[in-house]
Amino acid sequence: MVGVCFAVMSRNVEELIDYLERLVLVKFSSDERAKLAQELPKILEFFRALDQVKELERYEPLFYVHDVPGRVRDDEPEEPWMKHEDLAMNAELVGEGYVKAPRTVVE
Amino acid sequence: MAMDWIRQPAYRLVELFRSDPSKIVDYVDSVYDRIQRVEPLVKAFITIRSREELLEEAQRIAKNVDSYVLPGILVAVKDNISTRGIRTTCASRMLENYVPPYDATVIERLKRAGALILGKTNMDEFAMGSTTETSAFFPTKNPWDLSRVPGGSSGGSAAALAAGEATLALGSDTGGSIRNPAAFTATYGLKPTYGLVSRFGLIAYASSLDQIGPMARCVEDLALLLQVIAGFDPRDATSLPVAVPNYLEELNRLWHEEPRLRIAVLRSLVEVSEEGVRKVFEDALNKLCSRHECEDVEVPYRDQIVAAYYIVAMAEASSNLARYDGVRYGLKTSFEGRSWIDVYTEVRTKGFGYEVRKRIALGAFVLSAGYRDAYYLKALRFRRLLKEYFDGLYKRFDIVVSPTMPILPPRLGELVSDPLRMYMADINTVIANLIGCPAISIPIGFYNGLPVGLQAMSKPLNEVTLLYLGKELQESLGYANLVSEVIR
Repeated sequence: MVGVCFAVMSRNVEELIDYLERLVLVKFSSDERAKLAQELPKILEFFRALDQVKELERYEPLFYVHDVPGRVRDDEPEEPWMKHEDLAMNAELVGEGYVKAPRTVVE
Repeated sequence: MAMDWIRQPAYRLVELFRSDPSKIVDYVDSVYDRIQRVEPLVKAFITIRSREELLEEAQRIAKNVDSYVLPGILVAVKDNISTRGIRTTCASRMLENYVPPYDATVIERLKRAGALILGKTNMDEFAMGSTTETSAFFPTKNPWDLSRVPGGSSGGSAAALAAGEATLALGSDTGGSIRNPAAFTATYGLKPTYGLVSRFGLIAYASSLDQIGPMARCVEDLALLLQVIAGFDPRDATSLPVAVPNYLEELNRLWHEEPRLRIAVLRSLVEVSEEGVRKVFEDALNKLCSRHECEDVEVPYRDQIVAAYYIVAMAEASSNLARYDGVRYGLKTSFEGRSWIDVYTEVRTKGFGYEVRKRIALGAFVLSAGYRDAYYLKALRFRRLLKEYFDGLYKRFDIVVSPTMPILPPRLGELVSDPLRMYMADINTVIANLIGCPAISIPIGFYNGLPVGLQAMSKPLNEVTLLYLGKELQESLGYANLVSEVIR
């Protein structure tokens, strides 16, 4: 585990920022990159505090805090509770009931 | 003598309006005048509804006051809770012009109770922050000292209450976002048990931690507002199918029974607090311990609690905020001749502020191949360890107390410039979110003119005991219905 974290810390932080930008589809300005380059190693180092907890593997991951099973509704169609045009009211590019999206393939 | 509408608690206003419904209009006018006087200094709201619109609704409700639980009561709503027809921005450029086509369940319930939605309050962008300074629009000022922050992320809601701009408020709490600003503004805030209040219509930050909760200037109002918003909702898959007690009646019952409580004091969280916080907390604790049975207990792994919280919160944020693509809602840009990657990247870069982009990037990182086990799953394992530890404490104690915040309200710019210091300031509050239990912040005094809050936690669905403790401190210390003069 320590080895994995060490790999992150020793990686060039500029490369790490490039990787994060691609991962979540955002860009950081040059000023923001300089700030992030200072903050990232500190935050990731701080997260490593969990390595100090002994026998953590004994505990199952806790995704949901209550001991009640997840609930799903019956698999039957329900009456729509909102009109289609209301749902699309914040999309500007509506034509014939559809929302226009950018191309997935561009020449 | 003219009625002081600004400082009246909701439960008294309701009684007054039932005997004379015409007073609702005077009250709305009076609060609106107050907003016009102090809002330019405090800046609690992103959107305020017009006086005419509110007066029209008030007149309609005044015709039938007996059918409502909160007839005409003005409620400020955090701007991450969806309100049909009222802009809901999450304090982000991404949603600057977003108008929800539906109401959150809590808003439906407030309207059904006859409450008036006064406006939408400022917050940290997407609730990511502890000071209300990461808002894309402007920072909110603390009404007790305008050079200081009101806390966050529900800082606008807390400031509106402390400045006398609203009678009740809704906030949301992912790691302390109700309790932190309540402590910094001498108001009351409750994070309910996870699942007690529907999250349907709450714009998600970290879904396994988020909870909507009531904010007020006295315990009775906290109980009254919780009564209205709590309860099962089939539209929220994590809503608990439990019966909701009558909180005000139960509070009054306990108040008369005066049960002696077993109170655990998280001593190490007291010791690491600033001197002023410690002093005010110890004074309040002495009062509590003269009536109840108190015992110091330790908190295991302090740094790890904050690390686990931020890993889980950022991971869930990266998933929840992946939906902002500028297509169905949110910031728009031209699609012509551009790939979806270009379009999405431009929209997300322009729409999200630095802190939000940083958190979703880190969140995606801790979930990515090769690092998921090292960070995310480890944090979730720690979350179970913490829950088991507190489950054990709740078998021995009714209540667990600490200062709500280890620091006094910082000056604007002081905390937000040091992210790790800002994250560590959340240490006392994130526990309740990680384990899903209820927690309350109660005003217990001032140090050099700055408010200090006491946090009490209890086992899940034991909100009534927290309200009882709040009432006891409220009556013994006298910090109820406080409104700041808001001095420039």
